[in-house]
Amino acid sequence: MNELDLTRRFREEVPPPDPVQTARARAQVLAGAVPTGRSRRPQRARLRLVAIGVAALGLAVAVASGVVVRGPRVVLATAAADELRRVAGVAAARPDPGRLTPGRYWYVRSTGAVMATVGDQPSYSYLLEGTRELWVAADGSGRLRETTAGRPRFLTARDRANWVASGSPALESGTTDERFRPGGLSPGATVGDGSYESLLALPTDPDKLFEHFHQQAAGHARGTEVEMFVLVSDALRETPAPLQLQAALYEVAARIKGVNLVRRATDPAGRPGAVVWMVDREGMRHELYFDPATATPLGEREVVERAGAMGGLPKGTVVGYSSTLAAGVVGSVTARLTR
Amino acid sequence: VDLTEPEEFAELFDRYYAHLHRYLHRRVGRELADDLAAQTFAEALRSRGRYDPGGAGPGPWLFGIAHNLLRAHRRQEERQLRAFARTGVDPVVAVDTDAIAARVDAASSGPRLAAALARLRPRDREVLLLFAWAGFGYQEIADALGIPTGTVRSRLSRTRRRLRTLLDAQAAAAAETMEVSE
Repeated sequence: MNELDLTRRFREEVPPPDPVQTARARAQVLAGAVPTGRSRRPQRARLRLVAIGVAALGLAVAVASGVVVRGPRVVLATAAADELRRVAGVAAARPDPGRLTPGRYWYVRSTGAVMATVGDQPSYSYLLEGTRELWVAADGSGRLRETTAGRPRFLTARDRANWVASGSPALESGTTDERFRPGGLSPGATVGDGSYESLLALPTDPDKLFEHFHQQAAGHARGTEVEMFVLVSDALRETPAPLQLQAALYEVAARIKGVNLVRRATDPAGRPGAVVWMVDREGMRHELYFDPATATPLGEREVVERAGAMGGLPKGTVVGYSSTLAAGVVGSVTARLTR
Repeated sequence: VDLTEPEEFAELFDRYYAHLHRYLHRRVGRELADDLAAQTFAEALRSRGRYDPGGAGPGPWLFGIAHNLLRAHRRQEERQLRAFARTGVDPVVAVDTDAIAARVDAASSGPRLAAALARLRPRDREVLLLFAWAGFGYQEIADALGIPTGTVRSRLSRTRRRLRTLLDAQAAAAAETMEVSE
């Protein structure tokens, strides 16, 4: 079976929508009542089901290899809000990257890793560190260069054992370097449809911006607040957000309930900075690192906070991270910034 | 189609809701699909004046709106795919069925494909899944995503190539596992 047929059969078994739910949606839509009655059903039932499945598979928690980190020790919710508000002020005083005019590119160089899983059951999961360079113009054209190298870090000792049992096959590494036509890349990341226009259309008034993200995140399985936090974090780290918008984004983060702060932390690239973080309903901790002196976003990391999350991983397992090493506007897809 | 007529819009809902819902369900799970499908039609109703009858049809228009909403859930989608790859239990299916039944047998390609899909670039995955799941042609995908048809064609072929590479690498790893255990 070729890759397309496999894809066509993937999740083919999902059932049709519930008729009652469909009728309700139809009535609400046609009445012009925006379906803000988003499902408030708690996610617990679903999580329990998945947890049982995981237990049944015998994915016992194994002692982790090198990927486990210690949890932050300082938990100060109101301090987080105060600090983020202060940083919003610092952001407002930073040099504006300016509008992306034709022929100019937003350049970002980052290092990081996301979890990859290979093989049939038993599979193994690992992180392979890489460097990513993005040049993106306002119209979404540009270049993306990604290099992975180095030694894989297996998520747990069991993952390593499964890999060894598989004959220690070489893990995918190397460089890809691609040019994109307009619309191929997303300067706006997860904002709106990912276009530069969507990014610029975001309100810079913190109240309105908060409302925007709240609407987008409401009812999300991970929890509305956490989802807002992640969306704000993405917009801060990955986009050429104008100065006022950056400040407003920090303001919004300050208003999200349940954000925690560690003032003295080390970002995934080993640089000193502060970190704000939240834990979602699935037990994953989402971290945003920034430089408190300059308000520069430094990076992000996702860590298992509650043992058993993400298919039975031990607490402290890192499943992905990224550090921004350089960001700014350049004049071509071959120009680079050093910081 | 004159979507400003209430009956016509109701007909649009009846014709496309289940199809759109199924697509969204396969991507991000039932609960989110409930929300996003309804929101798509609410947004379509609001912006029906902007519907271009000269385009590829109401289907691509609706899926285009849905994709704008879906993009904010990219991380959720990737997390679910990675969880499936890792555990053999698909969280998207496990909501509706017994978790044990949702667990695929070892011969299934599900987890391997999930792992590969999770590693595609979001924009590439969109094109692939509109083609494979929504059953759209190049022109309809181009219309839904607002990109040129040529871009759709090249992106789809590049994505299929990348998917093949990822699946081959996994198949090779699985074959080695069998040799070692024999």
